[in-house]
Amino acid sequence: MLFNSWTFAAFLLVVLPVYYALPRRGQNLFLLAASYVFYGWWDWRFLSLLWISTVVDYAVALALDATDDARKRRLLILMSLIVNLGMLGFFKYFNFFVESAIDTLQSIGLEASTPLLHVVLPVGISFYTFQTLSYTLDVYRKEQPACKSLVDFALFVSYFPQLVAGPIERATALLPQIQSDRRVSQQDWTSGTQLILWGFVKKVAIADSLAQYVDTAFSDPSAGDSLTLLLCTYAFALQIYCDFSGYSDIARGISRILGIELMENFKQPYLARNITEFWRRWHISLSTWLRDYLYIPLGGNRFGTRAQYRNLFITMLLGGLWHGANWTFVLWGAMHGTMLAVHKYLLRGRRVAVEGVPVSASAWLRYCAGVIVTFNLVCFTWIFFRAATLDEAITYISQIAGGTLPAGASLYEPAYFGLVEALTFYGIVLFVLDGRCWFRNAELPYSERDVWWRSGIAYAAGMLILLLVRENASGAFIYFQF
Amino acid sequence: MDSHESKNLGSASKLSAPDSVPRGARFELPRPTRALICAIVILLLVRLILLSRPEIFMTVPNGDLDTFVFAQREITYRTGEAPSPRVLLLGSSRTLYITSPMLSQRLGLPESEASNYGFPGLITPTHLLLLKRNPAMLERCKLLILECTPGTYYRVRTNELLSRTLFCRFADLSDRIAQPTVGLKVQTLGDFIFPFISYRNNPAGWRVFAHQLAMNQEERAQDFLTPGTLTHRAAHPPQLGHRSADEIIRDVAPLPIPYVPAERALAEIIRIAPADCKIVIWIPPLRSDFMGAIAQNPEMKESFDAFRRVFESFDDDRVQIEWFDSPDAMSVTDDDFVDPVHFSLDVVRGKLLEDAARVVAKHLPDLAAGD
Repeated sequence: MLFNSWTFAAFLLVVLPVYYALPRRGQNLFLLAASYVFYGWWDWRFLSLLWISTVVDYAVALALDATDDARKRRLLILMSLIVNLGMLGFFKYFNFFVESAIDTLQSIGLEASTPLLHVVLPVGISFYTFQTLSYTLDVYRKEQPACKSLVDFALFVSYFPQLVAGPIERATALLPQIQSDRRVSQQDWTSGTQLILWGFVKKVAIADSLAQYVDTAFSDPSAGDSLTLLLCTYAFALQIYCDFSGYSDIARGISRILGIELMENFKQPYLARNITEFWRRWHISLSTWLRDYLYIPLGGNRFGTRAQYRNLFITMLLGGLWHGANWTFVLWGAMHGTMLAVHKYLLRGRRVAVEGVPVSASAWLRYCAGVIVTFNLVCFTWIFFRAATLDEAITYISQIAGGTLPAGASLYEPAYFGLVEALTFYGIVLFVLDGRCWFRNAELPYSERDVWWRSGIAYAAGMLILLLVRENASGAFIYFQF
Repeated sequence: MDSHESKNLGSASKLSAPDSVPRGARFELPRPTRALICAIVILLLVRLILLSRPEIFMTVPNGDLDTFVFAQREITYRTGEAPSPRVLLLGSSRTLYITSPMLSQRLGLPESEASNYGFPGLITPTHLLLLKRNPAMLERCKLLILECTPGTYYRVRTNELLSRTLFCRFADLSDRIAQPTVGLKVQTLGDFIFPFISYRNNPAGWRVFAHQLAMNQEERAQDFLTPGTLTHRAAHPPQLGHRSADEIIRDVAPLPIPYVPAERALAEIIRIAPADCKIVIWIPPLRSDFMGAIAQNPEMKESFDAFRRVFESFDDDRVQIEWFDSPDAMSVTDDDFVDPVHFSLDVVRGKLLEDAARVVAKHLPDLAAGD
C-alpha cells in the first residue's frame, strides 16, 4: 500500500493505538505482523522472499558468532551473499543479462534465443537485501553481535516504514532500538508529523505535479523542442528528488512517532557545491553502504590514486546497476564514477573544502558557481537515468542540442505556461524548504526555534498546497521499481 | 580553497544508536502546539473563504482548454450563475471544445442565446443534477440538446450510479441527504466541508489562478485551441489494442455513487423543462473498432440496446433522438478520433459543430430562421 493512500491512513490508525498500548515485546511482534501485512498488500507471494532472506541471514549470523574458524566463516558469509544476491540477481537482472548476452552473440554473428521469463520484480527487494547483507557482513567483521531473537531480527528486516524504499538501515543503528524500550515524546510527535507533512508536500504536490510533464517529454523526445526538453530535465531532477526524499521523510516521520529513529537519507543534495559533496547528501544510506561494503573492500584510496579512481568508478558503476536492469543505469553510474574520479584528481594535493555556509562574499560566489555547475552536471546524468533506452537518451540530448523551437513560438506560448509555472512555483517551494534546512543545518525547515505564527503559516501553506493538488493518477513512488 | 572560510557542519547522518532509553518508558500523548493550532485556524479560514467565494481562484484561461473550460463551467454551476440561453447544449468531453461563442456564432445568434455548458463525465443523471443546481438555465430554453456517450451507463446494472466527484461537486443538500446509506450520506455531506472526494478548488483552479486573467472569456480560450495545446491523449491516441472495451468504458465512466436511474433522470428533466422546450438526445458515433468490440460482447451489447430503449421509451413529442450508429453515419472516419470515444479538435469544431447546427435547424426551424 502506498503512503499516500486512504488504505495506509486506515492502516496507521489501527497500528498506532495498538502499538502504544503494548509492552515492548508485544510491540515488536505486533509491528512485525503489521509489516508483513503492509508488504503482503502488494503481493502476498513476495513475503516468501522476505522470509527466505530473514531466516537465512538470521541463521548465518548465529553460526558466524558461534565459530572462529576462518574457513567456516567465509563459507557462511558466502552463503548469505549467494542467497541475497542470488535472489536480487534473479528477480531483477535475469532478463537483462539474458537479453544482453543474446544481443552480444548476435552482434558477432551467432544466433541465440533463450526464452525470457516473465519475472515480477518484488517491491523493495533491492533495499531489504542490502540491509540484511550489511547485517551479516557486520557480524562477519565482528562489528555487530548476532541477534538472538528471530522476532527482533525479522522486524529489523521487514520494518514497514523503510522496507520498500529505504533508508537502508544498519543493524548497529536499528537493532538496538528494536531491542530497547521506546519512548515517544511531545518533541517526537511535533517533528515526526512535520516530517510527514513536508514529505507529502514534496511527493504529492511537487513530484506528482511535475511527473505529467516529464512523462510526456520522455515518452517521445523526438517530438519535443529544445526548450521544453531542457525544462523537463530540470523538472525530472526536482521530481526524482522530491519523490524519493519525500518518501524518506514520510518514513522517518512515521518511524519517529513509533519511537524509532531512521537515518537521514537526503541532506539538500542540490545545494552541493561539487559532486563529492552531492554524494554525501544524496541517498546517503546507499552511498554509505557502497562505501563501506564495496569501495573500502576494493581498496578505497589505500593503494594509490589510480586504484582509488578505479575503485570509485567500479563502485558507482555497480551502484548504477543497483537502480535497475538497464544499460542506462549502468551508464549513469559510470558517469558519476567518472565525475567523482575527476573531482578527486582536481583536488589532489589540496585540502578538501569543509561543507557549510560560506561566510564571505567571494566564498558565496564560489559556492553558487559550484552549485550551478554540479546541479547541471547531475541533471545531464538524469537524462540517462530516466530514459528507457540509450537511444532515447541520445535522442533526448540531441533534441536539446538542436536548439529547436516550434515554428513561430515564443516563451509566451501556452504550451510552456504550465511547465514554466510549475517549475517556478515548486522550485521556489523546494528552495525555501531545503534552503532553510541547509542554512540552519537542520532536518526540518521550521522548528521550535521559530516564532510560532511563522511556523503556523508555513504549515498551513503546506497543507493548502496538498489540498489544492489532486492526487496523481499513478501515485506510486519512483523508487518502488527498485 | 575556502575551507577556512566556511563553518563546519555537523555529521551528515546519524548512524549510531541513540543512548539507552529508560526502562518501562511510556508514550507522551501528543499535544497540539501553537504553530499547529495557528495552521489549522488559517486552513479553516481559507476553506471558508473558498467555500463562500469559489470563483476566487478561477480567473484564467490557459493553454490547457480542459482546465479552463472545466474550471470555468464548474464554477458558474456552483455559484448558480450558469447562463439561460434559448439553445442549451449539455455535452460531455466529446463536445467540450464547442465553446458557447462558437456555437452562437455558427447559429447566427447572440452569445447569450446559445450555450454549451457540458463538461467531462456527464450522463443524464448528471444533467439532472446540474439543472437542479441551476434552474434558471431552462427558463428561456427552447431546445435542450443532451449529448450522451453510450457506454457510460454500462457495467452499472441499475443505470443509476454517478461519478462521486461530480455528485459531490454539485449535488444540493436534499440529494446528499437522500443517499441510501448512512456511509454515503456521511461521505457526501462531509465532502461539503472538506472536499476529500470532489477536490473542489483543485489544480485546475490553482493553475488557473496563477495567470491572473479575467474569467469567462471563452473567445480568449479559442485562441489557444491549437492541436499542440490539446491534452497528451491527442498526440498519442490510445488504440484498443490489448485493452478490452470494458476497460475503456471503465476509464470513461468511473461511477460509484447511487443517484437516479437514467430513465428517471430524463423523465425529471422533461418534467422541469418548459412546456415549449424540445429535448434532443444527441449521440455522436464511437470509433468503429470500439463498436465492434462492444457488439461482440453480449453483455455490453445488451447494455447498449437497453440504453437505446431507455431513450426511445419516452412517448413525448418533445423528445427526439439523434443517434449515429457508426462513424459513416456522420461522415467521419476512424482517423477522426483521438481515442475510442473522442474526436480530434478539427472534427469537434468542424463536423460536430455542423451537426449541432443541423440538429438546431431541424428541431427549431423558427429559431434558425432568425426568430
